[in-house]
Amino acid sequence: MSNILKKVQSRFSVAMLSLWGILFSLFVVTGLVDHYFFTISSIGVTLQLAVPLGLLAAGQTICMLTGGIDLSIAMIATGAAFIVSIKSSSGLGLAILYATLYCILIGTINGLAVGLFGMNPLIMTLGMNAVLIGVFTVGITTFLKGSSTMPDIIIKLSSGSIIDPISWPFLLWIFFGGLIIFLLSKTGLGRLIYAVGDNATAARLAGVRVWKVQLAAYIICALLGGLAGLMIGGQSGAVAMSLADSLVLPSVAAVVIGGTSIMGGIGSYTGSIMGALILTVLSYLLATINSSEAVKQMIYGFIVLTLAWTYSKLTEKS
Amino acid sequence: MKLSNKRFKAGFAIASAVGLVLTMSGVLSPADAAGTYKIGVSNSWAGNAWREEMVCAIKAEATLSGKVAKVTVLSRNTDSAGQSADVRSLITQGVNAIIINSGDTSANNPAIAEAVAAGIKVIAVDNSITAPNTTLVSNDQVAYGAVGATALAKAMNYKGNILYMRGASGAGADTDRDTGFRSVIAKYPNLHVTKEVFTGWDWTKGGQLANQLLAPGKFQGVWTSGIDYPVVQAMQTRLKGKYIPVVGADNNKFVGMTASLASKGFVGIIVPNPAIVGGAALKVAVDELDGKTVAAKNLLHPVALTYAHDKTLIDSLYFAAQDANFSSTISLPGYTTFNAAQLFRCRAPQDDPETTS
Repeated sequence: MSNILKKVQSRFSVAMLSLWGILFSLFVVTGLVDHYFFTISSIGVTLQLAVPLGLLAAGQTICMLTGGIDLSIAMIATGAAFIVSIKSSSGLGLAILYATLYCILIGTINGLAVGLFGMNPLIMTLGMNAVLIGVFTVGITTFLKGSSTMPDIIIKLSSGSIIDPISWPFLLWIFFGGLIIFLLSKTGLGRLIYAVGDNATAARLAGVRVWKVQLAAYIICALLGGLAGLMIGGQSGAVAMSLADSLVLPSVAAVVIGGTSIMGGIGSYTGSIMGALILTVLSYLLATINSSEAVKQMIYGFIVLTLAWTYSKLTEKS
Repeated sequence: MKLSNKRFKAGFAIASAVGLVLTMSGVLSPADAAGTYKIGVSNSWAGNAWREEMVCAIKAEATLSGKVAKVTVLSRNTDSAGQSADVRSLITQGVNAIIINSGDTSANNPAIAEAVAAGIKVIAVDNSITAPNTTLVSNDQVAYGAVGATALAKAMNYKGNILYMRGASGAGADTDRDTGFRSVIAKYPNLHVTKEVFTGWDWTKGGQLANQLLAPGKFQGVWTSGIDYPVVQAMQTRLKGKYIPVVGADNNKFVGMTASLASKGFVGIIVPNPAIVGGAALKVAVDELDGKTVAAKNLLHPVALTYAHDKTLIDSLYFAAQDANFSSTISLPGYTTFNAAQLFRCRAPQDDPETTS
């Protein structure tokens, strides 16, 4: 048993080293293309912009470790931002409470459907996303009318720098990232998440209430998604239906690049953090080079594919 | 068993009460629908604040015209196949005119041709279509690009680097605006578009790009295709409270920022892209149904507003209670007759005057 653990650990350190290498080379290339990138404030902004993606990837990591995925995370994030935006007039605390309840509700439905009723997570969460799009489409002309900006305190927490390159969102990320890493590596629930993803049947036979673990995973994922939604709304200053759309696939990509198996059971949040940083620097690089949008999409897709493929090969070999 | 029987009875009573109320409201509601025309609306992008306001403008103007009995709105996120199906559904419902904001310039042409053949007047609003025998009501997008560029060049003293933030690659409005923008910028040898990006008219992406690209001294001006206030917000963090001129649209928050940050040296250039162009389309539709001669192309002529020159107008364009991305032009003289309150009520002629908000 300890032998296997050691093997896994050494495999991850090689992989982690290569992720650092990729991040560093992307960093250098971006700086060479755009010399403004090598300024403390640009680095600060890059770290800031990585935070929402990092939080979404945290949720995605937990789901994927159980062998699931959450594609409704875009509308969970968007919904939370809308709710805080509309309810902030009656107090920020209350607004955040409502948003939290919303996230727990959606996470619970997802978790129960996947855990208890055996729905395929891909279908379930994709369907949930479609339902939520419908609800909020009606909402913005009725019960959510007047919600399109974030309260100042959220703007501050999502884009305010303390001393460049350290910013409030970065500190938040360190805090929540630390919690996630602690949860996954040091707690019983964390171990159960790995166990369920590794072999749900074995876990069930060993006495684990698999559905409860999955329920917890989807609720945590939804809460992280909601937090990310607030960050995105705060950073762009705007709350709109498309709020988190452009970050859903990157959130999955960040996790995969970071070495978490889409089949569950293998991976870590540290890897996803690296994935999120790599994708954020990559998007900065693509924003600075002058080429058509189609070419940029191709470069982005190509690099993500290459990274995911290389990583899976790398972890396989050793 | 007894209990469930009781429950059943209670449920039945409630259901019949609800039914009665519904029937009564159905009897009472169309009391003031004086007109006879039936107008169909096909919109391919629901959940977008600008499009929702466009639909409300159609409803409000229809109600005020006194000539429309009913406005049927088919609004959803759909592709051309879905929108064509919506157009055909409107034909079946026997509308007299269809106002369409088409997701594609030509893909809906077969369905539109069927409508025209059935004697239905078809008015393309906002996005142009290539189908023959139709009428266009939209902002002049080429002029939109040009007037913003002219004002930006002036605000930049005709020199410096421009961050050029376009809309969606391939969209008709984006291509037209680009034509107008470049025709102006080409005249000034010291103005350079050093960075060109597409926001896809996505607020999040626009804010992200602005955060990534802005740096002190890098640009002297920004042109946006309407994704404007996230750029101003990014300046507050990225340029440490220093501002460079930004061209934006009549988005409520951008209008507000143009006014409130003017004293801090911010030059906001507002080029309105009114969502209430929908109201203008309704007016044109009614004119056509009345048998009046109507031009095939009805273009709104955008102007560039700055706080230095148009203070009173800009102040009047800001609505504190409205959404940040509310298109704040609320009147198009010669086309629309509603006031702000009537627009916000969003009431179609067939709606109950008491309950619609």
